[in-house]
Amino acid sequence: MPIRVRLDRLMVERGVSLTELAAAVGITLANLSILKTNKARAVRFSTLAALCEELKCQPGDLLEYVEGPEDEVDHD
Amino acid sequence: MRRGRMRTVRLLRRGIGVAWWLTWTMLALFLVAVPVLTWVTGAPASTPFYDAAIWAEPLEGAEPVTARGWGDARLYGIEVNVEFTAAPQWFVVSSLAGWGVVLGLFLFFLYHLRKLAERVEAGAAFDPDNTRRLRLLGGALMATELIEGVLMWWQSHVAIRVAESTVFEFGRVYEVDPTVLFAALVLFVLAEIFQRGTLLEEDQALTV
Repeated sequence: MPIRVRLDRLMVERGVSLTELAAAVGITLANLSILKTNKARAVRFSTLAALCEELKCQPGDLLEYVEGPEDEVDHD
Repeated sequence: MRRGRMRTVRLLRRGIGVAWWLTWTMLALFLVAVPVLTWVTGAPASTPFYDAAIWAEPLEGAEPVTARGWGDARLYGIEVNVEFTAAPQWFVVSSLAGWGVVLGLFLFFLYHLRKLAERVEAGAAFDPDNTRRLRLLGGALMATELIEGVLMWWQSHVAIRVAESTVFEFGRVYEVDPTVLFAALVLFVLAEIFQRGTLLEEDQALTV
């Protein structure tokens, strides 16, 4: 997936653990882990807004576009 | 899944289960109970596989049917079953083998339909195996209908060489029901829909 989620970097900068962030944002630890490891296929705006509120950042700080071939199967 | 739909799915699964066990029971009766009873009672066995469906047309001049007050009636072609009481073994064995294949395909169909219904009832309708199962069901349905048609043609082809009548002229029977073939195509299309459903479910599971 060319979109990378830089959650790990922001979590270190803010000194927040995965468990604390999941509880604060209101999503499961498993889902947050999926997001952190770049396995997610889509992110809801509500989740993005909750992460930005908790980590005090902009969406652009969390998401990064990386050029290159998709490493996931093409559905079509 | 809502309660009403669950009930429908559960009923469907049970109905398919009944068909599955009924088929095995009938097979067991035919393969075991009938020969045992025949041997015990000494009665001649009923041999449904010694007969063949053939097409019969009345010979010119023969009048097998008349009408009462409805003008003239004409019987221009009927499908009949002709039974041979001493058919050669090669005909009986090959017919049995053919119908055995058809029955096997039918059981294969029921088995996968049962598994499909069980997965749907368990809430895993878009299990990737279900896509494969739907394709198998479509293939089995199509194969059953085509093989049955060929088998009936072959049996009638052999039978008309032997059967004679002073009233009828005989022809071969070839029955392939197009609605069954269309139903098979519907299953193939459904498989593609289920594949899309599987991908959508995966996407949903990986949507945070």
